[in-house]
Order: sequence, then C-alpha cells, then structure tokens
Amino acid sequence: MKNSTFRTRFGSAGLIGLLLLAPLAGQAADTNDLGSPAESAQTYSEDYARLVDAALPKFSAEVLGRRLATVRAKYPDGYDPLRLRKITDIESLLGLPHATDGGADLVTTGKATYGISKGSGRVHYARNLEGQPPMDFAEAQRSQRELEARHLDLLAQAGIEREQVLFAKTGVMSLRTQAAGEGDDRSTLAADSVFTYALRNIDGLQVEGSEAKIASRGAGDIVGLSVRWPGVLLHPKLTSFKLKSADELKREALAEVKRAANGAVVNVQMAVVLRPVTLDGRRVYVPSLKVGVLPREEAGEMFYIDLPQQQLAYGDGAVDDR
Amino acid sequence: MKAIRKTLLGAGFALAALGTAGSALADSVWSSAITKWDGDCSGSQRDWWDDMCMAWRHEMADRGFVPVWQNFSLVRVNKYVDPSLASWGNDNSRIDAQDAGLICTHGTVDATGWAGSMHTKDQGECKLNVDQMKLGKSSGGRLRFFHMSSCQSVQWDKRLSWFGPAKGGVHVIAGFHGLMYIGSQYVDEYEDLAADGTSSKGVGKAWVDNMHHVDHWYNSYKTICPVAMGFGNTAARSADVLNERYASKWYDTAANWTTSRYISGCDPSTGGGALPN
Repeated sequence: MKNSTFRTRFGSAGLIGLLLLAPLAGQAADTNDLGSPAESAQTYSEDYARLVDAALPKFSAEVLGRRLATVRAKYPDGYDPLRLRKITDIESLLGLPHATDGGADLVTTGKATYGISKGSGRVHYARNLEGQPPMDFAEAQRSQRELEARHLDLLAQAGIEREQVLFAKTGVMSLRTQAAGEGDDRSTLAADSVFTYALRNIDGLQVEGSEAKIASRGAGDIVGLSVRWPGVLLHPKLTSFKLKSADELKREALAEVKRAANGAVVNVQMAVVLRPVTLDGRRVYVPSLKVGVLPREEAGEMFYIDLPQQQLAYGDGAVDDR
Repeated sequence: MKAIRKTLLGAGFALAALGTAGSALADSVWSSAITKWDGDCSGSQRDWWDDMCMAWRHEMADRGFVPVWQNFSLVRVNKYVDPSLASWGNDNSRIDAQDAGLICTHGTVDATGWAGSMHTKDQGECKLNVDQMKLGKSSGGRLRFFHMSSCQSVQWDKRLSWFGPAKGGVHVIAGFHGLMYIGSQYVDEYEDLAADGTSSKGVGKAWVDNMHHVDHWYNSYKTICPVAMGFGNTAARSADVLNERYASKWYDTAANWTTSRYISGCDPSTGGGALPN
C-alpha cells in the first residue's frame, strides 16, 4: 500500500475540508480525517477489534454531519458538471468529424468507436489500433508529465475541473513480447499508450463509482477515453444529518469484518464516501463508510455502512446468480 | 445495479443453452462463480463475486451471445480440465465449448502457475491448476478468450506457464498479478469489459483498461493490477491479437509467442511485488 500523492493532486475543496476537520479532531494537519490513518495500512492481525479501532477515521460526527448538510444545501438538485451529454459533445472534445446527425448512443467508424452508454451514462471512446505499431517505451516514459497535463486539461474541457479530482495518476501501459521458452531478459518492451486515471471528490468527499481514464500515444493523439462522472444527488429522503457514533460504526464494521476475514490475518481500511444506490430506478447517493477487509493470501472484500442514523430505503443488495 | 433486472432473462437462456453445450454453433459465453464455500472445499465468503461474473455474462447476452453458467456447487474441476491431460476432464463440453469464459473464484499462485478454488471436491481435487488446462480448437474446444477474476491468476513470475493451456489455441488469457478485491463497486467494471470487448476494443485491452482500479483511503491507497496475454505464431500476431473483439473470430495460430499487456510498475502491495516497466 502506498502513501497517497493526494497532497499535490487533491482538489482545493478537499484541502479546505481537510484543514477544517483536522484541527477539530486534534490530528496532524497532513492526515485526512475522512480516511484510516496511514500507519494503519501496514497493520495485519487476527485481532479484528483492534484493527477496526485503529482503522476508523477520526472525523467528528457532528462536524461531518454539518459538512454533508452544506453539500445538500449547495446542490439541492444535484451536481452534474460533465459536459459530455451527446455524441456531438464527444466529437467536439476530441476534434472528430461529425459522424452522425445526433441521437445515436454509439458511433462506429473504421478508425474509432465512441458513445454514451444508455444505462450508466459512461462516456467512452476507443481508437482502432489494429495493426498499428506501438509506442517506443522510452518515449512513452519521457512524455508522461506532458501528457498528464494534457489529459487533465482535456478533462477540464469536459467539465471535470481539477478541484473535482481526488486523485490522479499517470502511467505507461506496457507491452512485453517474447517467444515460448524465453525469459524476460530476451523479451522486447514497447508501450501501448500513456494513460491517466482519476478519481472524484465533491467538496473533499470521495464519490464512489466515479472515475475517468484517458489514454494517448502522443500530444493530441487520444486513443482511449472512459468517463463515469454521473450527477450526484444525495438521497432525497435524507433529512437528518445526525450520524452514527464511532461506537455504532465500530460495532457494525466488526461484525462484517469477522465474517469476511474468516479467521485469517487481515488488514482493515476505511474511508468516508458518497456511495451510489438505486432509488426508484435512478441513482442517488448515501454518505457511507467504505470498509476494506484486505487479507494477505486471498481476495479481499469491500463493503459499506450507512453513516446517517436515519434509515434510508434503496435497492442495493447482492443477487444470487442461480 | 442491473443485476436484478436481468436475472430472469439470463435463467431462460441458460436452460436453452445447457441443452446444446458442446454442439452449439451460436456464439456463446460461460461464467462460473462461487460466493460461499459450503461444499467440501474451503474459502472465505464473498457475496458480490457472482454479481461481478453475472454483470459480464448479462451484458454479453444483451449483445447476442448465448449465456451459459455453472455456479456455486456446480463449480467442480472436471469442467475446466482438458481430456488430453486427464481422462476425466470435460472442458470440451463445458467452458471450452464456448467462445469466451470467465471464472470468479479464490486463487493463489502455486508451482504450476495458478490454483483456482473449486466449491466441491471432484476426482479428489479442490483446486484447478494451470497444467490441467488446454483451451481452444486444437484441443477439441473453441474458447478464444479466457478470463479469471481470481487473485494471482496471471502472476508475473509465473505467467509464462499459461503457454501450456494456450497450446490448445486460445487467443487471449487474462487475470491479475497480486490480489484483487470483491465488492459492489467492481460490478460495473465487468459490464464495461463486455461492452468494450464487443463493440469498441480488443478483449485483451478491455480487460486491463477496465479491471485496473485504485481503492483510495485518503491517506493511502491500494492498486489492482490486471494482466492480459495474447498468444500467436509470431511476435506481431501475439501483440495484435490483443485487439481481437469477442465477435471478431480471428483465425487460430500456434502459441509460439506471447505479448503481455499491463501497467508499468503497477504495485498490488499484497500478493506480489511491483510489475516491471
């Protein structure tokens, strides 16, 4: 687990929230009280109660409740900044010739496929790279900083300003080729693309299920785009911002952690998030505590606990695939 | 979120498809998932794993593929083992009778390369190993794409062990280096894999692009590191086959070369060190 680069890439709203919360909770200024303390990330144990205790973020329920109420007041009808609403918006953003007269949700040409998914609203674009040579790996590495700036600028043009970005990371998508029986020392290395991956926050609160991925092979040469950045509306029935106490949250978390850990040595991490759920067929958000049970030797599990004391109705359960 | 809507639709298809498994010529896909290890094999419960597998399969069904699935207590080793390697293997009438397959189960790296946990012991075995598999037309099946939602399924130091199963002719094998995670927030990624791999980009690329994920905890974060391997008779073919889509049906070639697609330096933190450049 890495220490986050959020200090340099955290949006300004997130920084404001951090500065507001940290002194009130008596924490160091560089620790975000919406997440588990960094030192807890290295703690593995079978003492689940101790893990939960150490991982619970140090936020004040009263302060966070007021902050959520402010978000509701600021965005009474939701917050939906993405400017990519139709096919022509994608074409304008990427400088593509207009391929349709509008209305279609998917365009396929010989050179690219792009569209807006009906159900999820995900915006996607993929250039057809069949038969095309890859990038030189060293050139891809050298161009990362420049392409990251271009990617973030493009996202800003799409309506994703930098203060909405919780976390961004740029890297190289590698291609390593070798013959059967030959080791990595005899392989050839190339780059598929340079990509940027971004996660979202609203006023410093992480938004689950929102992410942007953009990839290119050079300045102005976008080869891939995937943006899930839906409108965020707090659950409309959420009328009280009184949150569960630390003891209540620990009790709920511990029961699930015990079940998920199944006796194994695990690490536990937590974060305050806005989590999408379904209400009457539309997406709304519930302030939640995201909990990760992270074993050393098998797939871990993520689950959520509602933060408000108020019971909220929504559809969100796992379905048995019988 | 789409899981409930599609459950009944999928069940109907499955009844029809199972009757023709092995002989069906329509494009079809297979998925297997376990959530509770309540048979005689062991593993920790993961309630959302079948939803992840199901999201992929339902999206494939929406795009015209006949869905076939065998979940929970039906996940037994013989359905994935090739008869050329063990006489009791039935993969050619099960997973290898389809065009694409996805298995969602606990996994770990072992001497063979990967061991996937089964639900119920079969032939005395609770694990499916790399050296029991041979996928594709050359081994009596027809699978072109094999994906594993399973930890350490394409572990970097062991990934070349997948040359063995690829001798059967399968075009792309995809999995994870290090540990991966289970939860509701990953379901959409499997749906996107199906959508992208069908309509807009190669399956090998769609796998890595959609499965890469950062779980952020404000003061630290964890990364999921997918890896896709293309196989071919030449270096160029093994790289280009990562562009093959589910319905493209590229011709088969011998698996003499492989190209791995992955995120340079991706560090899963648990279950494997950082990937190389």
